[in-house]
Amino acid sequence: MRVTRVVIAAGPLIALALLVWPSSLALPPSVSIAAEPPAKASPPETGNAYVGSETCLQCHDVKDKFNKTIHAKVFTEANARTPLMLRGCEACHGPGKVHADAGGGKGVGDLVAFRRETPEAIERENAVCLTCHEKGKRTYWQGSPHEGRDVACTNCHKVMEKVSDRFQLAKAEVVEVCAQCHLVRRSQIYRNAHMPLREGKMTCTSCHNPHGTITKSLLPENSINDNCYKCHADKRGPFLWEHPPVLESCANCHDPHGGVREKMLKLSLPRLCQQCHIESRHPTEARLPTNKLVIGRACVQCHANIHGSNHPSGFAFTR
Amino acid sequence: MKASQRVLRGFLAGLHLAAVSGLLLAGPFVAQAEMDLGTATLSGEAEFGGRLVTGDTSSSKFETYRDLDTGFFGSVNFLIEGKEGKYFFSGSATDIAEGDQHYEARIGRYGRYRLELEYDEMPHQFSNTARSLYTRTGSVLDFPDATQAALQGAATAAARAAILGGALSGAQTVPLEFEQKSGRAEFFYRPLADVELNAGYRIQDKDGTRPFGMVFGSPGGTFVNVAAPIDDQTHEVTAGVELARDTWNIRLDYIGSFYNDELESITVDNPLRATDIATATSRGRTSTAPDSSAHTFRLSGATTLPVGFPARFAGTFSYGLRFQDDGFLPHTINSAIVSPLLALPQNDLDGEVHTILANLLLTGRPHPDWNVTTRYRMYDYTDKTGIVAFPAHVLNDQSLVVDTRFTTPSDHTVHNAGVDVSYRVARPTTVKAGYEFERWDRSSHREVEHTNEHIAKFGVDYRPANWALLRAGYNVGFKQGSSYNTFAHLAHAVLEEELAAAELTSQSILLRKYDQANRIRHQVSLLAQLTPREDLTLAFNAGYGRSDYHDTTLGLTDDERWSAGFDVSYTPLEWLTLSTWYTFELIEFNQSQRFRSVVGGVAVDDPVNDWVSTSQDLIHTAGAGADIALIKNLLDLSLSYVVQAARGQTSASGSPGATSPASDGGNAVDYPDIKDTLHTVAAALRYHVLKNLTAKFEYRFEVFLQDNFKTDGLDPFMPFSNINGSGVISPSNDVFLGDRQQDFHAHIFALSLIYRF
Repeated sequence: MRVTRVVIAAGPLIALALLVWPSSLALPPSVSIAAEPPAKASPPETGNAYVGSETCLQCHDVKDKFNKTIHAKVFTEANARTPLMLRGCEACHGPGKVHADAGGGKGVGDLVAFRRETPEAIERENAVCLTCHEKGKRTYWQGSPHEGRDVACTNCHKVMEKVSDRFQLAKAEVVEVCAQCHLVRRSQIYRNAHMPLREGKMTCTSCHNPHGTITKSLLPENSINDNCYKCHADKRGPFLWEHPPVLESCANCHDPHGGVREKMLKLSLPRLCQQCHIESRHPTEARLPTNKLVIGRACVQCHANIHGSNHPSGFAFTR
Repeated sequence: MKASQRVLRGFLAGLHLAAVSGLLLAGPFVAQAEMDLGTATLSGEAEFGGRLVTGDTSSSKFETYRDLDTGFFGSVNFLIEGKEGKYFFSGSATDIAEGDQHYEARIGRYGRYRLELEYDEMPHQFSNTARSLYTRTGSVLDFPDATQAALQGAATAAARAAILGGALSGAQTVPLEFEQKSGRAEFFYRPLADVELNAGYRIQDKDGTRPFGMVFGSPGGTFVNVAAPIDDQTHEVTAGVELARDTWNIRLDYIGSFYNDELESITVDNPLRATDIATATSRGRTSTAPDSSAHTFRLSGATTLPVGFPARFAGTFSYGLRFQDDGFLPHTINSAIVSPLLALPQNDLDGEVHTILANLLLTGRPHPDWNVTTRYRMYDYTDKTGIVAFPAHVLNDQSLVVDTRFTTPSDHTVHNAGVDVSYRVARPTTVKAGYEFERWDRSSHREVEHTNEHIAKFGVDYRPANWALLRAGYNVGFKQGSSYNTFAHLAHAVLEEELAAAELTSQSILLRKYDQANRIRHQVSLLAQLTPREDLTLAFNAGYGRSDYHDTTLGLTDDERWSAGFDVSYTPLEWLTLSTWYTFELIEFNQSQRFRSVVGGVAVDDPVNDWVSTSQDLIHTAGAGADIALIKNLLDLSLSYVVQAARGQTSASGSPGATSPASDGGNAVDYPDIKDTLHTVAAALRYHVLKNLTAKFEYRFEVFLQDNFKTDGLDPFMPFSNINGSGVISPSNDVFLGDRQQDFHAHIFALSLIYRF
C-alpha cells in the first residue's frame, strides 16, 4: 500500500522539483499583484468624499500583506462585480477625504476602523461586511447566537492579512479561531475518544456553520442526525426495526465533541443502556466489573446492530 | 476494482494531472531567473524532510487517525496567478504518499468561477492486538471445523470451555482497521454579480474491518467477537442556485445522498456447533446497513423589511425523501429450522420517509437600544413505511419463536419557538431576556406522545471598558410530558391478546426514559474577555448545568456538568510570545435501577432489589506555548506542551439490606476507574538560511497512558468473564478478540527544508 502511495505521489513531486530546483534557491519571494487601480465609481453625494486607495497607501503601509488576501484579488478592475468593490480601501473603511485632509489620526474622519470597541461599533463594522456577504452561508447571520453576542466578523476573520489558507481567518486554523471563546471545546479534541480534529482531518466547521443556521447548535443540516449522516450514512435507514432514540438524535447517546468513554458515548456500556432498559433479567443486573456483559463492547457484543436492523428477526438488534 | 475505487482513483489521478500539468506548463518560465512565469506568477511553499520515530509506538492508539512512521515526508502548496489578476490555480498536498495524505486543487477566475477538487485518505485503527481463529472469505467468517466438531461433542460447559480456551490460545493476529478515502469535486459559478450556481459530487469509501459481535445463545448467552468486514460507499450530489440582491436573497439547494454497502450480510460460524439442529445453529447471519438514498430540497431566503427601523426576515423550507428497499435476508441460515410461518411477508422494506423543515426568523432593532429576535422552527419526520407483521421469528438463528411481531415505524415532530430581547441599559451594560418553547410530538408507540418545554433565558453583558467584556447567562427549562405509557411500544409490537403476558416481563412501570422524562434544567454560563494591552489577552469562562428528572424513580435521575477554563496570551517583547490555557470539566450522571428476576413468568418488582449508580468524568486539560525569535529573521523557536488527564468513575451500590448477589445488590459495586493521560511536547527550531529557504528541526514527544478495566485484560478467551447474577463463575463459552489499545510513548524527530517560491 505504501509503495503504491509513493508511486502515485511521485508525479507531482517530480514536477514540482523540476519546476523549482534550477532557478529558485536564491530568489526572493514572488511579488504579488500590483496595487489596485484608482476608484472609478461616482463621487459621494454629500459630506465626505472618496480619495482612492493610493492616498491611503501614502501613510498606511499595508499593501504587501493586503495584496495576498482574497479581497485584494477581487477589488480590482478586472474582477470587481460592483462599483463598491472598485473603491479599494474605502469600500470597507468608508470615504477618506476628511481623514486624509486632517492628516490622519485615530478616529478622525469617522472611518470604519474595525476595532470592535463597542457593540454599536461592532454592529456598524459587521454591516460593512454584510453589504456584500449577507447571503449564502451568512443568510442567517442576523439573529444568530454569535450576532446576538456582539461577535464581530473581525473576531474570527482577518481581512488585511492572509493568516489562514482559506476564508481569511484570524488564526491559522479553524480550531484556534473557535477556541478564542470555546475553551472547553478546544480541550475536547484531546480526549481519548475524539473525532479526528487534532489530526487535521476535520475542523469545527465540518459540522457547524458559525454564521447562523436553521438549528440551535449552528448545524448546517436540517437536524442533528442529518449532520451525522453526512459521514455516517449507514446509520440513516429507514430500518425495518428502528431504535427510536437513535432515530431522534445521535446526541441522546453520543457526545460528538469527544469524551473519556468508548465511542464518544456519554457514559460506558452497560450503564448507558441501563438508563432506559429496566425490563427484566440481564439488562437489570448491576454486574461485576469482570462480567462479560461489562467488559469489551458490553451490550453491543450481542446487540451489534444497535442503530437499527434490516433483518426480519432483528427486532432486538442482534441480527 | 470496485466502481467507488475507480471513482476515487479518478479523483486522485485528476488532482495529479492538474498539478503536474500546471507545474510543467509553468516549468519553462520558472527556468528564468525569477518566479515570473511570463503571463503568470508562481508562489508557494514546499517542505520536504525526513522523520525518525522511536519509542514504543506499537499501540494502535498512536496512529488511530494518522500515519506517522519513520521515513520521508513532504508537503507542497502553490498558487499560480495570471498577471492580469484574473485567473488562478492553487493546490496543496500534505503528508504526501502517506496513509493520511491529502490533496486539494482549485482553479478558476477570481469572483467568477472556480473548480475545487479534493482527495483525502485517513486510517481508522481500532486495535492491533486483536487475535482470532476465524478466517474470512468475503463476508463469511469460518471457525476451524475440527474445533467446532470437538466443541459440539463436548458434554459439559466446562469441557467446552477447556477446548475453546485451548483452541483460542492459537488465535492469530487480525487487523481491526479500515481506510477511509474521500473525494470531492465542486464547481462554483457566478455568471452575474448577484447570481451564483454550484454543483458538486462527493464520495466516501470505507474499506477494512471492525470489531463486531454475534450472539448464538439465549439473551445474555454465548457470543463471539469477530473482525467483520466493512466495504461501503456514500455518494453525495449537490446543486444550488442563489440570487442575491442588496436587500434580499433567495437560494435553492438539492442534496442527494446515496449509501451503498457492498456487503449484504455477515455470516459467522458458531464455534460450539458443527451442524444445525432446531435448537442450535452452526452459523449465524446478520444483516448489514441497508443501501439507502436521501433527497433533500431546500429553499432559503431573506429580506430586509420596510418598517422604518432595521429589520430582517429569513426563512427556509425544506422537503426531504428517504428510500430504502434493500432485500430482506431470510429469518435464519439455520437449515434445521423450517416453518411456513417464516415465509417473508414481503421481499424488502419499501421504506419511505418524508421530512419537512420550516424555519422562520424575524429580527429587528425598533430602537437603537433594543434588539428583538423571534424565531420558529418545525422539523417533521414521517415514516410512511407500512407496518410489517412477522408471524414468527428465529431467535439468534437458534430457535423458532412463534410470536407475531409488528414493526413500529417512528414519526416525530419538533416545534421550537422563541423570542430574545436585548436592551442596552447604559453604554457599558446590555441585559438580555428570552423565552423558548420546544414541543415534541412522537408516534403513539413511544412512551410519551407529547412533551412541552418552557425555557426562560436571562443574560447580562457588561463592558466596563473597550477592552473588557464580562458576560453572564442563566437559563432554566421546565419540560413536561403527557402521560407516560410504559407499554406503548409493546402494545404496537405484539398481538393484542399477547400483550398482557408480555407486559409481565417488560419495562418497569417506574422507569422514565430520559429523552422523554419530565425535567427541570438549569444552565449557567460566565465569560470574561480582557485585552488590557495590545500585547495581552485574557479569556475566562465557566459553565454549570444540571438536569433533574424529578418524576423519575428508575432510570436517569439527574445529571450535572461543571466546566471552567482560562486562556492567556502575552507578548512581553517583540521577539517573544507566551500563551497558556487550562480547562476543567466534570460530568456526572446518576441513575437508579432495579434488578428484576423472573419467577413464574413474572418480573419480580421488589424495591429491595434496587441499586444506584453514578458515572463521573473528571478531565483536566492544560497547554502552554512560546514563540521566540531567537535571532530576528534568522532563528525562531516554537515550544508547546499540552497535557490531558481524565478519570472516569463508575460507582454503584445496592439498597440497604440487599447485599446478596441473588438480589443483585452484591453485584452493585464500584468499577475500577478508567484513566487516560496524554502528554504532547513539541519544539520546532527554524533557521532561515536564505530569505526563501528555511531549515526546520522539529521534536515531538507524545505519551499516552491508559487504564481501562473494560479492555486492558481482554484476550480471545476470557475464562472468568461469565459471572451470573449470583456471582457464580460459570465456564465461558464466549469468544473475544483481545482488542486493546495500549499505552505508547514516542519521540519524533524531523528535519526538513522549507522552500518558499
